[in-house]
Amino acid sequence: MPTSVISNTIKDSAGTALANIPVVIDLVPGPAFRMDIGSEIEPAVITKTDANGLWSLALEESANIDPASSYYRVREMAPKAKGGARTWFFRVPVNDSLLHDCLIQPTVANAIIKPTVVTSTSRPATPYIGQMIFEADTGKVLWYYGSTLGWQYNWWLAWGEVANMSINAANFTTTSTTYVDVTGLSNASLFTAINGRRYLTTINAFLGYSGSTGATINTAIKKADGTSYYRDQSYLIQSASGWNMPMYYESRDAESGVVGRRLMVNNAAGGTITIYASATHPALLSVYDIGPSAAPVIT
Amino acid sequence: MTTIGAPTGVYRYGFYPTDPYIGMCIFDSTFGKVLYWYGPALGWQYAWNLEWGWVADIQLAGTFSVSLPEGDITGLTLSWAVMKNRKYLIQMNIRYSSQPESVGTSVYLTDGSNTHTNEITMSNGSSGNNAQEITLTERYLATFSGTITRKGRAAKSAPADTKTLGPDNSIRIYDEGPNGAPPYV
Repeated sequence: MPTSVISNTIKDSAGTALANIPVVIDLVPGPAFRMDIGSEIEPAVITKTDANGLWSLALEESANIDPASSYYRVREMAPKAKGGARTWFFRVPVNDSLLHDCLIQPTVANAIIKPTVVTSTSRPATPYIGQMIFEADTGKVLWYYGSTLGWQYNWWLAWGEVANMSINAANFTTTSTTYVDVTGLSNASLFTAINGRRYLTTINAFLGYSGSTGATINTAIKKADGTSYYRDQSYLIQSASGWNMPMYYESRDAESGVVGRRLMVNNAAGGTITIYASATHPALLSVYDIGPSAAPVIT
Repeated sequence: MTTIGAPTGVYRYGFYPTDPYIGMCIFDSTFGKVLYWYGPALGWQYAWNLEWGWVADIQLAGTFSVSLPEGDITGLTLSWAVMKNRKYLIQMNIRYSSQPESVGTSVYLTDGSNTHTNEITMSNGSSGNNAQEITLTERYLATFSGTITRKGRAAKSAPADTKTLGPDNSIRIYDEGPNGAPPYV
Protein backbone atom coordinates (compact mmCIF):
# COMPACT_ATOMS: atom_id res chain seq x y z
CA MET A 1 0.00 0.00 0.00
CA PRO A 2 2.11 2.96 -1.20
CA THR A 3 1.45 6.01 0.89
CA SER A 4 2.94 9.46 1.21
CA VAL A 5 2.71 11.85 4.12
CA ILE A 6 0.91 15.09 3.36
CA SER A 7 1.24 17.94 5.82
CA ASN A 8 0.18 21.52 6.35
CA THR A 9 0.44 24.17 9.03
CA ILE A 10 -2.59 26.26 9.92
CA LYS A 11 -2.27 29.76 11.27
CA ASP A 12 -4.70 32.59 11.88
CA SER A 13 -4.52 36.02 10.31
CA ALA A 14 -2.08 37.15 13.00
CA GLY A 15 0.28 34.30 12.18
CA THR A 16 -0.48 32.37 15.33
CA ALA A 17 -0.45 28.61 14.99
CA LEU A 18 -3.87 27.01 15.43
CA ALA A 19 -3.68 23.96 17.68
CA ASN A 20 -6.28 21.21 18.02
CA ILE A 21 -8.09 22.13 14.79
CA PRO A 22 -10.02 19.17 13.36
CA VAL A 23 -8.91 18.19 9.87
CA VAL A 24 -11.16 15.98 7.71
CA ILE A 25 -9.86 14.35 4.56
CA ASP A 26 -11.98 12.37 2.13
CA LEU A 27 -11.95 11.22 -1.47
CA VAL A 28 -13.93 12.89 -4.25
CA PRO A 29 -16.18 11.89 -5.89
CA GLY A 30 -16.66 8.88 -3.64
CA PRO A 31 -15.47 5.45 -2.60
CA ALA A 32 -12.29 4.19 -4.20
CA PHE A 33 -9.98 1.20 -4.11
CA ARG A 34 -6.29 0.46 -3.87
CA MET A 35 -5.17 -0.85 -7.24
CA ASP A 36 -2.38 -3.08 -5.90
CA ILE A 37 -4.42 -5.14 -3.44
CA GLY A 38 -8.00 -4.23 -4.32
CA SER A 39 -9.01 -3.15 -0.83
CA GLU A 40 -11.33 -0.23 -0.26
CA ILE A 41 -9.86 3.03 0.93
CA GLU A 42 -11.31 4.55 4.09
CA PRO A 43 -13.99 7.05 3.01
CA ALA A 44 -12.73 9.71 5.41
CA VAL A 45 -9.94 10.21 7.90
CA ILE A 46 -9.78 12.75 10.71
CA THR A 47 -6.89 14.22 12.61
CA LYS A 48 -6.04 17.37 14.55
CA THR A 49 -3.33 19.96 14.35
CA ASP A 50 -0.61 19.82 16.98
CA ALA A 51 0.64 22.63 19.18
CA ASN A 52 2.45 24.14 16.19
CA GLY A 53 -0.64 24.11 13.98
CA LEU A 54 0.76 21.19 12.01
CA TRP A 55 -1.26 18.29 10.74
CA SER A 56 0.12 15.38 8.76
CA LEU A 57 -1.34 12.14 7.48
CA ALA A 58 -0.10 9.18 5.49
CA LEU A 59 -2.45 8.88 2.52
CA GLU A 60 -2.77 6.45 -0.34
CA GLU A 61 -0.78 7.66 -3.34
CA SER A 62 -3.06 8.82 -6.12
CA ALA A 63 -1.32 6.60 -8.66
CA ASN A 64 -2.57 3.57 -6.72
CA ILE A 65 -6.22 4.65 -6.56
CA ASP A 66 -8.99 3.29 -8.75
CA PRO A 67 -10.81 5.18 -10.18
CA ALA A 68 -7.77 7.30 -10.97
CA SER A 69 -10.01 10.33 -11.44
CA SER A 70 -10.34 10.43 -7.66
CA TYR A 71 -8.77 13.25 -5.74
CA TYR A 72 -8.62 14.27 -2.10
CA ARG A 73 -10.51 17.00 -0.30
CA VAL A 74 -9.25 18.36 3.00
CA ARG A 75 -11.35 20.54 5.27
CA GLU A 76 -9.46 22.39 8.00
CA MET A 77 -12.20 23.23 10.49
CA ALA A 78 -10.88 26.48 11.93
CA PRO A 79 -13.46 28.48 13.90
CA LYS A 80 -14.97 31.60 12.39
CA ALA A 81 -13.03 33.75 14.80
CA LYS A 82 -9.82 32.27 13.44
CA GLY A 83 -10.71 32.71 9.75
CA GLY A 84 -13.25 29.94 9.27
CA ALA A 85 -13.04 26.52 7.67
CA ARG A 86 -10.78 26.07 4.64
CA THR A 87 -11.24 23.50 1.89
CA TRP A 88 -8.51 22.33 -0.47
CA PHE A 89 -8.32 19.73 -3.22
CA PHE A 90 -5.17 17.77 -3.86
CA ARG A 91 -3.56 14.60 -5.20
CA VAL A 92 -0.99 12.54 -3.35
CA PRO A 93 2.36 12.15 -5.14
CA VAL A 94 4.94 9.41 -4.64
CA ASN A 95 6.94 11.50 -2.16
CA ASP A 96 6.05 13.03 1.18
CA SER A 97 4.92 16.56 0.38
CA LEU A 98 3.47 19.78 1.67
CA LEU A 99 -0.20 20.25 0.90
CA HIS A 100 0.67 23.38 -1.05
CA ASP A 101 2.67 21.38 -3.58
CA CYS A 102 -0.15 18.93 -4.29
CA LEU A 103 -3.07 21.26 -4.87
CA ILE A 104 -5.25 20.88 -7.95
CA GLN A 105 -8.13 22.88 -9.32
CA PRO A 106 -11.00 20.53 -10.16
CA THR A 107 -13.55 21.93 -12.56
CA VAL A 108 -16.77 20.72 -14.11
CA ALA A 109 -14.97 20.27 -17.43
CA ASN A 110 -12.37 18.14 -15.73
CA ALA A 111 -15.01 15.78 -14.56
CA ILE A 112 -16.50 15.41 -18.05
CA ILE A 113 -13.56 15.42 -20.47
CA LYS A 114 -10.69 13.17 -19.55
CA PRO A 115 -8.92 10.52 -21.56
CA THR A 116 -9.25 6.85 -20.82
CA VAL A 117 -5.75 5.42 -20.83
CA VAL A 118 -5.63 2.28 -22.98
CA THR A 119 -3.34 0.62 -25.52
CA SER A 120 -3.93 0.22 -29.24
CA THR A 121 -5.02 -3.37 -28.65
CA SER A 122 -7.26 -2.68 -25.67
CA ARG A 123 -9.55 0.10 -26.82
CA PRO A 124 -12.97 0.24 -25.14
CA ALA A 125 -15.25 -2.52 -26.41
CA THR A 126 -18.41 -0.46 -26.08
CA PRO A 127 -17.39 3.13 -26.76
CA TYR A 128 -19.79 6.04 -26.77
CA ILE A 129 -19.74 8.93 -29.21
CA GLY A 130 -17.38 11.58 -27.91
CA GLN A 131 -15.36 9.18 -25.77
CA MET A 132 -11.71 10.14 -25.56
CA ILE A 133 -8.83 7.73 -25.18
CA PHE A 134 -5.08 8.02 -24.80
CA GLU A 135 -3.15 5.10 -26.30
CA ALA A 136 -0.14 4.67 -24.08
CA ASP A 137 1.78 2.54 -26.62
CA THR A 138 1.32 4.86 -29.62
CA GLY A 139 0.84 8.16 -27.81
CA LYS A 140 -2.30 8.85 -29.83
CA VAL A 141 -5.22 10.83 -28.48
CA LEU A 142 -8.38 9.56 -30.18
CA TRP A 143 -12.09 10.32 -30.08
CA TYR A 144 -14.95 7.99 -30.94
CA TYR A 145 -17.11 9.29 -33.78
CA GLY A 146 -19.51 6.36 -34.07
CA SER A 147 -19.55 3.16 -36.11
CA THR A 148 -18.87 4.82 -39.48
CA LEU A 149 -15.76 6.79 -38.61
CA GLY A 150 -14.68 4.85 -35.54
CA TRP A 151 -11.73 6.18 -33.52
CA GLN A 152 -10.24 9.29 -35.09
CA TYR A 153 -8.06 12.24 -34.19
CA ASN A 154 -9.79 15.46 -33.17
CA TRP A 155 -11.92 16.12 -36.26
CA TRP A 156 -11.46 19.87 -36.31
CA LEU A 157 -7.67 19.89 -36.38
CA ALA A 158 -5.16 19.22 -39.16
CA TRP A 159 -3.80 15.68 -38.97
CA GLY A 160 -0.53 16.17 -40.82
CA GLU A 161 1.28 14.07 -43.40
CA VAL A 162 -0.65 11.02 -44.58
CA ALA A 163 1.46 9.85 -47.54
CA ASN A 164 4.80 10.53 -49.14
CA MET A 165 6.66 9.38 -52.23
CA SER A 166 10.19 10.27 -53.18
CA ILE A 167 12.90 9.56 -55.71
CA ASN A 168 16.37 9.81 -54.28
CA ALA A 169 18.48 7.38 -56.28
CA ALA A 170 18.51 8.41 -59.93
CA ASN A 171 16.94 10.86 -62.35
CA PHE A 172 13.73 9.96 -64.12
CA THR A 173 13.84 10.58 -67.87
CA THR A 174 11.37 10.13 -70.69
CA THR A 175 10.98 11.04 -74.33
CA SER A 176 7.29 10.22 -74.38
CA THR A 177 5.02 12.52 -76.34
CA THR A 178 2.01 11.41 -74.30
CA TYR A 179 1.52 11.45 -70.55
CA VAL A 180 3.55 8.84 -68.66
CA ASP A 181 3.98 8.19 -64.94
CA VAL A 182 7.08 9.50 -63.24
CA THR A 183 8.32 6.28 -61.67
CA GLY A 184 8.55 6.65 -57.91
CA LEU A 185 6.19 9.61 -57.79
CA SER A 186 3.10 7.79 -59.01
CA ASN A 187 0.88 5.43 -57.08
CA ALA A 188 -2.75 4.68 -57.99
CA SER A 189 -3.50 3.43 -54.45
CA LEU A 190 -1.49 5.75 -52.26
CA PHE A 191 -3.72 6.11 -49.19
CA THR A 192 -7.27 5.82 -47.88
CA ALA A 193 -9.01 9.17 -47.76
CA ILE A 194 -11.72 9.82 -45.19
CA ASN A 195 -14.97 11.37 -46.28
CA GLY A 196 -15.18 14.92 -44.96
CA ARG A 197 -11.44 15.51 -44.76
CA ARG A 198 -9.40 17.84 -46.97
CA TYR A 199 -6.02 16.88 -48.43
CA LEU A 200 -3.15 18.98 -49.65
CA THR A 201 -0.81 17.50 -52.26
CA THR A 202 2.55 19.11 -52.89
CA ILE A 203 5.31 18.48 -55.39
CA ASN A 204 8.89 19.49 -54.73
CA ALA A 205 11.13 18.61 -57.65
CA PHE A 206 13.21 20.06 -60.45
CA LEU A 207 12.47 19.59 -64.11
CA GLY A 208 14.95 19.57 -66.95
CA TYR A 209 14.67 19.34 -70.70
CA SER A 210 16.87 18.72 -73.70
CA GLY A 211 15.29 19.16 -77.10
CA SER A 212 13.83 22.09 -78.99
CA THR A 213 13.47 25.75 -78.05
CA GLY A 214 9.82 26.67 -77.97
CA ALA A 215 8.58 23.22 -77.00
CA THR A 216 6.05 22.81 -74.22
CA ILE A 217 6.42 20.36 -71.35
CA ASN A 218 3.22 19.32 -69.66
CA THR A 219 3.22 18.11 -66.08
CA ALA A 220 0.27 17.04 -63.95
CA ILE A 221 -0.70 15.45 -60.69
CA LYS A 222 -3.40 13.06 -61.86
CA LYS A 223 -5.89 10.83 -60.11
CA ALA A 224 -5.74 7.05 -59.95
CA ASP A 225 -7.37 6.72 -63.36
CA GLY A 226 -4.43 8.54 -64.98
CA THR A 227 -6.84 10.87 -66.75
CA SER A 228 -8.48 13.20 -64.23
CA TYR A 229 -6.40 16.07 -62.91
CA TYR A 230 -5.66 17.34 -59.45
CA ARG A 231 -3.31 20.00 -60.73
CA ASP A 232 -1.30 20.63 -63.87
CA GLN A 233 1.33 23.02 -65.09
CA SER A 234 3.02 23.57 -68.44
CA TYR A 235 6.45 24.99 -69.17
CA LEU A 236 7.48 26.82 -72.32
CA ILE A 237 11.04 25.85 -73.18
CA GLN A 238 13.36 28.82 -73.64
CA SER A 239 16.56 27.04 -74.56
CA ALA A 240 17.25 23.78 -76.29
CA SER A 241 19.22 22.23 -73.45
CA GLY A 242 20.47 22.70 -69.94
CA TRP A 243 17.11 23.96 -68.90
CA ASN A 244 16.15 23.53 -65.29
CA MET A 245 12.98 24.68 -63.55
CA PRO A 246 11.79 24.27 -59.97
CA MET A 247 8.45 22.54 -59.60
CA TYR A 248 6.37 23.46 -56.60
CA TYR A 249 2.64 23.36 -56.77
CA GLU A 250 -0.18 22.11 -54.68
CA SER A 251 -3.72 20.90 -54.81
CA ARG A 252 -6.46 20.88 -52.17
CA ASP A 253 -9.05 18.16 -52.46
CA ALA A 254 -11.87 16.52 -50.51
CA GLU A 255 -12.32 12.85 -51.37
CA SER A 256 -12.84 9.45 -49.82
CA GLY A 257 -11.79 5.84 -50.23
CA VAL A 258 -8.56 4.51 -51.68
CA VAL A 259 -7.06 7.26 -53.79
CA GLY A 260 -3.89 7.77 -55.77
CA ARG A 261 -1.53 10.47 -56.82
CA ARG A 262 0.29 10.20 -60.14
CA LEU A 263 2.88 12.71 -61.28
CA MET A 264 2.79 12.48 -65.08
CA VAL A 265 4.69 14.34 -67.79
CA ASN A 266 4.82 14.64 -71.57
CA ASN A 267 6.23 16.74 -74.35
CA ALA A 268 4.44 16.67 -77.69
CA ALA A 269 7.44 18.16 -79.49
CA GLY A 270 9.81 15.38 -78.43
CA GLY A 271 13.08 15.73 -76.60
CA THR A 272 14.08 14.40 -73.20
CA ILE A 273 12.32 15.38 -70.01
CA THR A 274 14.20 14.86 -66.75
CA ILE A 275 12.97 14.88 -63.18
CA TYR A 276 16.17 15.33 -61.23
CA ALA A 277 16.74 13.07 -58.26
CA SER A 278 19.62 11.84 -56.16
CA ALA A 279 20.44 11.26 -52.53
CA THR A 280 21.23 14.94 -52.10
CA HIS A 281 18.55 16.05 -54.47
CA PRO A 282 15.32 14.20 -53.69
CA ALA A 283 12.12 14.72 -55.64
CA LEU A 284 9.15 14.66 -53.28
CA LEU A 285 5.41 14.25 -53.51
CA SER A 286 3.62 14.59 -50.18
CA VAL A 287 -0.02 14.51 -49.12
CA TYR A 288 -1.20 16.21 -45.96
CA ASP A 289 -4.47 16.16 -44.10
CA ILE A 290 -5.15 19.87 -43.57
CA GLY A 291 -8.43 19.64 -41.68
CA PRO A 292 -12.11 19.00 -42.25
CA SER A 293 -14.02 19.77 -45.42
CA ALA A 294 -17.33 18.95 -43.73
CA ALA A 295 -18.71 17.91 -40.38
CA PRO A 296 -17.99 14.29 -39.40
CA VAL A 297 -20.55 11.67 -40.32
CA ILE A 298 -21.57 10.50 -36.88
CA THR A 299 -23.67 7.37 -36.79
CA MET B 1 -9.44 -2.91 -15.55
CA THR B 2 -9.78 0.35 -17.37
CA THR B 3 -7.80 3.22 -15.98
CA ILE B 4 -9.59 6.52 -16.04
CA GLY B 5 -7.56 9.69 -16.38
CA ALA B 6 -7.25 11.94 -13.40
CA PRO B 7 -9.21 15.15 -13.23
CA THR B 8 -7.43 17.23 -15.74
CA GLY B 9 -7.08 20.39 -13.89
CA VAL B 10 -6.49 23.81 -15.17
CA TYR B 11 -2.95 24.71 -14.31
CA ARG B 12 -0.92 27.83 -14.71
CA TYR B 13 2.42 27.46 -16.43
CA GLY B 14 5.02 26.60 -13.79
CA PHE B 15 2.47 24.90 -11.54
CA TYR B 16 1.89 21.66 -13.41
CA PRO B 17 1.02 18.46 -11.50
CA THR B 18 3.88 16.99 -9.53
CA ASP B 19 2.77 13.38 -9.94
CA PRO B 20 1.56 13.03 -13.53
CA TYR B 21 0.92 9.68 -15.16
CA ILE B 22 1.26 8.77 -18.84
CA GLY B 23 -1.85 9.99 -20.62
CA MET B 24 -2.73 12.67 -18.08
CA CYS B 25 -4.24 15.72 -19.73
CA ILE B 26 -4.02 19.30 -18.53
CA PHE B 27 -5.07 22.71 -19.75
CA ASP B 28 -2.38 25.36 -19.36
CA SER B 29 -4.30 28.51 -18.53
CA THR B 30 -1.26 30.73 -19.11
CA PHE B 31 -0.77 29.78 -22.77
CA GLY B 32 -4.04 28.04 -23.57
CA LYS B 33 -2.33 24.74 -24.39
CA VAL B 34 -3.88 21.30 -24.03
CA LEU B 35 -1.03 18.99 -23.06
CA TYR B 36 -0.52 15.33 -22.26
CA TRP B 37 2.09 13.69 -20.08
CA TYR B 38 4.43 11.42 -22.07
CA GLY B 39 6.75 10.42 -19.26
CA PRO B 40 9.83 12.10 -17.80
CA ALA B 41 11.87 11.91 -21.01
CA LEU B 42 9.34 13.73 -23.19
CA GLY B 43 7.44 15.63 -20.52
CA TRP B 44 4.25 17.53 -21.34
CA GLN B 45 3.53 17.55 -25.08
CA TYR B 46 0.72 18.13 -27.53
CA ALA B 47 -1.18 15.06 -28.72
CA TRP B 48 1.56 12.95 -30.29
CA ASN B 49 -0.47 11.87 -33.32
CA LEU B 50 -1.07 15.39 -34.64
CA GLU B 51 1.15 17.71 -36.59
CA TRP B 52 2.51 20.42 -34.34
CA GLY B 53 3.07 22.95 -37.09
CA TRP B 54 5.61 25.74 -37.16
CA VAL B 55 8.81 25.10 -35.23
CA ALA B 56 11.31 27.78 -36.28
CA ASP B 57 12.27 30.01 -39.15
CA ILE B 58 14.71 32.63 -40.30
CA GLN B 59 14.31 35.20 -43.04
CA LEU B 60 16.99 37.64 -44.16
CA ALA B 61 16.15 41.10 -45.43
CA GLY B 62 19.42 41.56 -47.31
CA THR B 63 20.83 40.07 -50.47
CA PHE B 64 23.81 37.77 -50.91
CA SER B 65 26.31 37.84 -53.72
CA VAL B 66 27.38 34.32 -54.70
CA SER B 67 31.09 33.56 -54.59
CA LEU B 68 32.98 31.16 -56.83
CA PRO B 69 33.66 28.36 -54.33
CA GLU B 70 30.83 26.94 -52.30
CA GLY B 71 30.21 29.00 -49.17
CA ASP B 72 27.59 29.89 -46.61
CA ILE B 73 24.83 32.28 -47.53
CA THR B 74 25.68 34.75 -44.78
CA GLY B 75 23.28 34.49 -41.86
CA LEU B 76 21.08 31.82 -43.37
CA THR B 77 21.64 29.28 -40.59
CA LEU B 78 19.01 27.80 -38.33
CA SER B 79 19.31 25.39 -35.40
CA TRP B 80 16.42 23.87 -33.53
CA ALA B 81 15.55 21.03 -31.17
CA VAL B 82 14.24 17.85 -32.76
CA MET B 83 12.42 15.08 -30.95
CA LYS B 84 12.99 11.43 -31.69
CA ASN B 85 10.24 9.83 -33.84
CA ARG B 86 8.90 13.15 -35.07
CA LYS B 87 8.83 14.16 -38.72
CA TYR B 88 10.02 17.58 -39.90
CA LEU B 89 9.57 19.50 -43.11
CA ILE B 90 12.49 21.79 -43.91
CA GLN B 91 12.05 24.32 -46.67
CA MET B 92 14.56 26.84 -47.92
CA ASN B 93 13.31 29.61 -50.18
CA ILE B 94 15.77 31.51 -52.32
CA ARG B 95 15.10 34.33 -54.72
CA TYR B 96 17.64 34.03 -57.50
CA SER B 97 18.78 36.45 -60.18
CA SER B 98 21.70 36.43 -62.58
CA GLN B 99 23.51 39.05 -64.63
CA PRO B 100 24.29 38.16 -67.36
CA GLU B 101 21.98 35.19 -67.52
CA SER B 102 24.08 32.11 -67.74
CA VAL B 103 24.45 28.64 -66.39
CA GLY B 104 26.21 27.46 -63.31
CA THR B 105 24.85 28.77 -60.05
CA SER B 106 24.17 26.14 -57.41
CA VAL B 107 22.14 26.52 -54.26
CA TYR B 108 22.45 24.02 -51.43
CA LEU B 109 20.52 23.15 -48.32
CA THR B 110 23.05 21.58 -45.94
CA ASP B 111 23.44 20.33 -42.42
CA GLY B 112 25.81 21.92 -39.93
CA SER B 113 28.75 20.00 -41.46
CA ASN B 114 28.00 21.29 -44.97
CA THR B 115 26.67 17.94 -46.16
CA HIS B 116 24.06 18.59 -48.81
CA THR B 117 20.52 17.54 -47.98
CA ASN B 118 19.09 19.11 -51.13
CA GLU B 119 20.54 21.10 -53.98
CA ILE B 120 19.87 22.58 -57.38
CA THR B 121 22.03 23.99 -60.12
CA MET B 122 20.24 26.75 -61.94
CA SER B 123 20.72 26.92 -65.65
CA ASN B 124 19.09 29.01 -68.30
CA GLY B 125 20.26 30.88 -71.33
CA SER B 126 17.26 33.13 -71.63
CA SER B 127 15.16 35.19 -69.25
CA GLY B 128 13.94 32.56 -66.86
CA ASN B 129 16.40 33.17 -64.05
CA ASN B 130 15.59 36.69 -62.96
CA ALA B 131 13.83 36.93 -59.62
CA GLN B 132 13.09 33.24 -59.76
CA GLU B 133 11.86 31.65 -56.57
CA ILE B 134 13.59 28.39 -55.66
CA THR B 135 12.27 26.09 -52.96
CA LEU B 136 14.50 23.29 -51.68
CA THR B 137 12.68 20.80 -49.51
CA GLU B 138 13.91 18.17 -47.09
CA ARG B 139 11.80 15.68 -45.20
CA TYR B 140 13.68 14.90 -42.00
CA LEU B 141 12.81 11.90 -39.82
CA ALA B 142 14.32 12.39 -36.38
CA THR B 143 16.03 9.29 -34.99
CA PHE B 144 17.27 11.04 -31.87
CA SER B 145 16.36 13.96 -29.65
CA GLY B 146 18.74 16.87 -29.79
CA THR B 147 19.68 19.91 -31.80
CA ILE B 148 20.24 19.96 -35.54
CA THR B 149 21.28 22.70 -37.94
CA ARG B 150 20.41 23.59 -41.49
CA LYS B 151 22.22 26.16 -43.62
CA GLY B 152 21.91 27.74 -47.00
CA ARG B 153 25.03 27.64 -49.18
CA ALA B 154 25.77 28.59 -52.76
CA ALA B 155 28.45 28.51 -55.47
CA LYS B 156 28.90 29.69 -59.03
CA SER B 157 31.01 28.49 -61.96
CA ALA B 158 31.35 31.71 -63.97
CA PRO B 159 33.70 34.05 -62.06
CA ALA B 160 32.76 37.27 -63.82
CA ASP B 161 29.03 36.86 -63.51
CA THR B 162 27.00 38.56 -60.81
CA LYS B 163 24.71 36.08 -59.12
CA THR B 164 22.47 37.46 -56.43
CA LEU B 165 20.31 35.64 -53.90
CA GLY B 166 17.57 37.45 -52.04
CA PRO B 167 16.19 39.51 -50.52
CA ASP B 168 14.00 37.43 -48.23
CA ASN B 169 16.01 34.22 -48.34
CA SER B 170 14.50 32.00 -45.69
CA ILE B 171 14.50 28.61 -43.98
CA ARG B 172 11.32 27.34 -42.36
CA ILE B 173 10.83 24.30 -40.15
CA TYR B 174 7.52 22.53 -39.57
CA ASP B 175 6.62 19.55 -37.42
CA GLU B 176 4.61 17.26 -39.71
CA GLY B 177 3.51 14.66 -37.20
CA PRO B 178 4.77 11.40 -35.72
CA ASN B 179 7.18 8.97 -37.35
CA GLY B 180 6.79 6.35 -34.65
CA ALA B 181 5.55 5.90 -31.13
CA PRO B 182 6.70 8.34 -28.45
CA PRO B 183 10.08 7.30 -26.98
CA TYR B 184 9.08 7.14 -23.36
CA VAL B 185 12.56 6.13 -22.20
